[in-house]
Amino acid sequence: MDETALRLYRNRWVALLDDGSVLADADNLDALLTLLADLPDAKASIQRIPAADEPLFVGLR
Amino acid sequence: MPPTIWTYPHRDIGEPPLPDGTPVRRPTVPVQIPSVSEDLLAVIDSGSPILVADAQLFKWLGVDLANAEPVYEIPLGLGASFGTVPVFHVRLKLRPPAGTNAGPFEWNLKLGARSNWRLPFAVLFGQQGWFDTFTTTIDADTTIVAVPVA
Repeated sequence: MDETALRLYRNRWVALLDDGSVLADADNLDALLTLLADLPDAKASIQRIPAADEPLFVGLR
Repeated sequence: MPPTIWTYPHRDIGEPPLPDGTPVRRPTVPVQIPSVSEDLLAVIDSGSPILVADAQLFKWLGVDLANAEPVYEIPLGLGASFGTVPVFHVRLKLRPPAGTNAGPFEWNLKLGARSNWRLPFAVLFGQQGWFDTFTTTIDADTTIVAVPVA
């Protein structure tokens, strides 16, 4: 993952373009999807950038 | 007719590396929802009996969480938190890997709506709804998905 995106967008939902740059970001998923609905179509991938000290997820319990 | 094989490389989604420096790479697939052209990242977890997603996604899937009747509810621990999760019928589209000359594959599934979602991906795919639809092989580097022929 792009180091700049990691540094600037930790703990935020982002739409990442193929080159690793951030198309849009928001503090929750609904807000990001709302932003993206108003933008021109783009090939991007939506995820949340984890916090630097976030525990590692290992599954449901 | 044999299924179509789609192969997805594992993905570093920005999680801190392991203490020995090894990067964390997850088995992921891209999925699409109505009204949004971008892909949502879904992580595949063969140990999960159900499929679950950020509750904020359901409005975009046409499910009104305040009023819709769930298929069932299930107590669920996810990460460090615990709560009852309502499960709904929804439709998603699996996008083929980059460079594949095919359209997305759409299927029906039951998806749990988890509030206070804190994971670095929007959807978690488990057994009922993923593995019973797609024969999936996960190795150290890739996820190989057998997509049924429509």
